[in-house]
Amino acid sequence: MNTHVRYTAALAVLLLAGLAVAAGEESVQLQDAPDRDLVVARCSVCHSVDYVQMNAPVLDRAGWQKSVRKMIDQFGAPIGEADANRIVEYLATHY
Amino acid sequence: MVTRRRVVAGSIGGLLLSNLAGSWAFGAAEAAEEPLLALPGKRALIKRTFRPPNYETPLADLRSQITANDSFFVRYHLASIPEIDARTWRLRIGGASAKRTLELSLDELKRDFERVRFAAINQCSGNRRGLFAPRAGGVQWTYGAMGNALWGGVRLRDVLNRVGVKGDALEVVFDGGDGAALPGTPDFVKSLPVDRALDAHTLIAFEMNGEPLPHWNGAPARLVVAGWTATYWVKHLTSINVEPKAFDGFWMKTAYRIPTGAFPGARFASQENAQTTPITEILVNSLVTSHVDGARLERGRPAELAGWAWDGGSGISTVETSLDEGRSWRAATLGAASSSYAWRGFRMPLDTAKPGPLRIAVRATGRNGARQPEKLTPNPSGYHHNMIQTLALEVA
Repeated sequence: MNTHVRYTAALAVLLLAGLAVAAGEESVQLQDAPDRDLVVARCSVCHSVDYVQMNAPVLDRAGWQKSVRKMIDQFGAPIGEADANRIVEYLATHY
Repeated sequence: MVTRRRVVAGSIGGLLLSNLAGSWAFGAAEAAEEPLLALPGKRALIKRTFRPPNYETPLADLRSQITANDSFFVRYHLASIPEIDARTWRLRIGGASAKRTLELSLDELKRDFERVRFAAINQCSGNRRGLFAPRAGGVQWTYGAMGNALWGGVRLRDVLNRVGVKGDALEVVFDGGDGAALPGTPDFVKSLPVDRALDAHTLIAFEMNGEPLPHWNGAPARLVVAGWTATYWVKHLTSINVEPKAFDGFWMKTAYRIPTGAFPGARFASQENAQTTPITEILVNSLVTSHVDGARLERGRPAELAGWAWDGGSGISTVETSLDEGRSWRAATLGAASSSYAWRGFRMPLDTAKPGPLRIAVRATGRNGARQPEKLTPNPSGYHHNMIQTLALEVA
């Protein structure tokens, strides 16, 4: 699959899971790199991933770490340690 | 998708009054693209995030005395937003410190209580967060997470008096119909000190600018806490509970807090600790709407600086402008104030006879004596941005 198809597929999984994505949200494209689809799949359960782009100028690695922990510890995101580390790595490297 | 140029915050540090140099410094603007998109029923607004929807009012739509419903900013914390049928909607009022419980339909709310209407600023706690230096995480708002609207509804105190408030009441807790995708995410629930809940300017509002509340602004009924930041203005109200103890939800105990003692404004004693305290009242502020930083003026052509000033309800006493980097200030002409909670217009003619830069600073002072500061008070969440606005215009 090319990247756009993969990306669209990740959002389609969310739709199948009964989650509403906002109109226009599919236009948000995170940087194509390893674990991009993991980030989209996990983060998009609760919010559009333009949150990632918006906070890119603000957050460094420690900030991304704190942000991901907040999603897990305070917002109840069911993300295990291994996936959390991969998500932080992607965000810290590409944003 | 429409885009427009905007001035971003990268140079804001350069806009601070420098104590060492004793002069205003005007930084070079850095431009970035920013999409204007329309939610259903809204005009194109500055899209910050799609889901939950966070949309900011463009400066051009903040030029009128009343901010139009279809360009009023939209702010949500949680992505599940109900389409509520006003005919079947019910508001439940009760709690451990209420003598009775009550369930009201919209018709009963409108029929059984005295109707009230006044203009008030609705401003997000994080308005201008995107202009903070050092930067703060969160929705990167610039100037438009606010607006001035005419709110119509009934006094919360009249409704609370109908159920009867017991002597041990400490806080009143508000829940709305919005929810999260995951069961583990804290629901957006807010509380007010009981005295603020009983204030004559705290409303259950069902009208905005003479029309039913727009969906994205809290239909069919929302809380209006005039003078306090918009975090308390709970949308899509479903329940109101009078309680004898401090509400301990995430959105009170963890979010929307500022360092204790760092800012002026009403204290929320039952929620305060040694380190942090809830944000409460809107601080004195102003906004130039006639020009943007970097704008060019035609030499010899009459020009006027104009905008709005507001505070948490004491009312605006003066707006001053400085053309000499803060050494001297001149009073601008003030417009009428329709309510002390609404913004007040100001105007100042600009001298365009000579070509060259025109460096303008604007500061507002409230009737309570509070004045816009030269520097920001850093705080982790980027709240209360009310620093003196500076613009570098060019006469050519």
